[in-house]
Amino acid sequence: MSDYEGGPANDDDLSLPRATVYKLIAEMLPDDVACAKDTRDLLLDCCNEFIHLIASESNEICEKEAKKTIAAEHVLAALRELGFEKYVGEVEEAYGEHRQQQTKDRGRKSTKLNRLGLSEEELLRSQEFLFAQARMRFQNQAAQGAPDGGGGSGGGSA
Amino acid sequence: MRKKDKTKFPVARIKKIMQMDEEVGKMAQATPVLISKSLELFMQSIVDDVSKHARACNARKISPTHLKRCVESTECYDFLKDIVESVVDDGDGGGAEVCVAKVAEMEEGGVEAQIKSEGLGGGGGGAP
Repeated sequence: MSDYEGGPANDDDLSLPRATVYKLIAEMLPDDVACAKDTRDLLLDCCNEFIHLIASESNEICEKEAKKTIAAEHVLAALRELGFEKYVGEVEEAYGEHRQQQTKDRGRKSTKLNRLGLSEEELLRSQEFLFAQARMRFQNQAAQGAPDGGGGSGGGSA
Repeated sequence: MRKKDKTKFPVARIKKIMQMDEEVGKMAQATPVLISKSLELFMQSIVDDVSKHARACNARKISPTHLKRCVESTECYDFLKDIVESVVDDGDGGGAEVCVAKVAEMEEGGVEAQIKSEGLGGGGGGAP
C-alpha cells in the first residue's frame, strides 16, 4: 500500500469532493437557471447529509435482520422507507450493472493459464522439454567454441 | 437525462463518510456503489425542485432562500431542515408563501399551464 494520503487530513472533515459536486450541479441545472455560490455550498452539505441518512437507515434495517454486513437490499429498503421509492428502479439497474462488471473482472483473472487448456502434467512435460532444448543449444555453443583453442569462455581476442 | 454522464462520485470516499457513524460497520462492495447512484438521483431531484422555486420568483439564480423554501415544503427533505435553518428568507418573489403556492400551481397544472401564462400557447391566444 502506498503512503498517498489523498483525502482530508482529519477523518472528521470528510466530505464529498467540492469540485465533483459543483460540476454535477452545473451539469444538472436547466439552461435558464444558474446557481449562486453559497447555494452550491449548501447543496454540498445536503449531499453529505443524504449519505449519512441512507447509511444510518440501511444500517438499522441490516441490524433488524440480524445481519452484520450492509447489503444492497438494505440500501433499497432504506430508500423506500425514507420516501425515495422513485429512485429504487434506477438504483436496482446500477446494482445489476455492478454485478455484471464484477463477474467480468473475476473471469479475467483466471483465464491466463486456463486458456492454454493444458493440465498440470502437460505443463510440466513441456517445461522439461524446453529446458532440454536450451541445454542442447548451450552444449552446441560450447562445442563450436572448441576449435578456436579457447576453453569455455570462447575466444578472448582483443 | 443529464447533459453529460461522466462525472461520478468517488466510491471509496462515500464508504469513509458512511463509516464516520460508529454504528455503521461492514458493508458489501456494492453498497457504496448504490449509495453513489442514489446520491446522483437525489442531486437531480433537489436541483430540479429548487429550480422550480427560483423560476416561481422569476429569479435567474438559485439562492439559499429558494433552497430553504424547497426543503420546508417537501416532506422527504425534512432531514435537511437543520442545514437551511440559518438561512434567512429574503422575501424574494413576494415571500415564501406566494412562491410555494406558485410552485404547487405549476406542478398541478403541468407545463401547459406555465406556457399558457407566458402567452406562448397555441390555440386560443389573444382572448382575455
